[in-house]
Amino acid sequence: MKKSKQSFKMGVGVSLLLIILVVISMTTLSVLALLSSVNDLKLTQKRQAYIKELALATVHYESALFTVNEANHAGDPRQAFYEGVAIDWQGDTAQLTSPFHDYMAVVGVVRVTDAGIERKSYEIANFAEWEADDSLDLFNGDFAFFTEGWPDDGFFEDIDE
Amino acid sequence: MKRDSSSLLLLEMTLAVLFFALSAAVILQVFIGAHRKSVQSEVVATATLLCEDAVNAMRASQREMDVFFTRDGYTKTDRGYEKQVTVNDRRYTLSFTGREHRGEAGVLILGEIAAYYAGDPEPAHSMGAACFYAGGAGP
Repeated sequence: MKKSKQSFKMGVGVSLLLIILVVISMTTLSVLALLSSVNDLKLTQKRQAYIKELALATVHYESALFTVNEANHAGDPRQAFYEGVAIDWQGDTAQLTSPFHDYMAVVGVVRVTDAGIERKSYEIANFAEWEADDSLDLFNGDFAFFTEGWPDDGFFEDIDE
Repeated sequence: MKRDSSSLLLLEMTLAVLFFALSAAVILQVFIGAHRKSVQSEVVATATLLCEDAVNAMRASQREMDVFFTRDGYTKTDRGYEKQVTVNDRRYTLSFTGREHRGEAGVLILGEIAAYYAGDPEPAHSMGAACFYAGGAGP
């Protein structure tokens, strides 16, 4: 009788121990799952933010292309044709500022001369965009643009070539 | 004495079961939280991809805004253009709002594309969309 009572108590002890083990392992698993999901979400949001900024830079570049194309076409590069972009000319360079956000697009515009005759054709020499407090360029490069007039003999040409 | 021992055992068992139930409830909540985060992450990633795809398709098409969006399965609404997309049994609404600027040298499509998940009022992802093409619209 005494022996069976002892066995019963031992059984209860073992069961409790097992329950505690199960609880501990399940807690560990759930916490790990949560941490993994949170980390995954953070990474996704980081990527999302980067793609957003890149898209915005592309918007500015396309706007700049439009502005300078219009300027070339009209033969009056001193005028900003696209209403959404503020343009500040300083000699042969221009700074385009977009009103959409805190970023700034800088466009260098080069005067093209052909056999000593100045043509009213301008190019985007470089386009860069960055965050105000970030030294790393978000979007940067030399781009194709018209150099041979418009529209009949116009073609896209990389200015590095 | 024997009765006291039984009561103690019962109390001990009850406490153990209560502790187990409480732990199970907490653990279940943590699992549900993890699942929600996982779904949120998937939704954000898919919405981002959908927006990127839409912008890339728009830039590649070199067509007028109306022509591109109509051919790509969007319907015109008061706000702009909308399209329903289902990915992994989740329903998204792609919405484009923007304008077409026609100049002498070309056309600039400028706007914003957003992906809404299952009728959420806030977009899961939104980004600027722009496309300039010189001369007239493509075929």
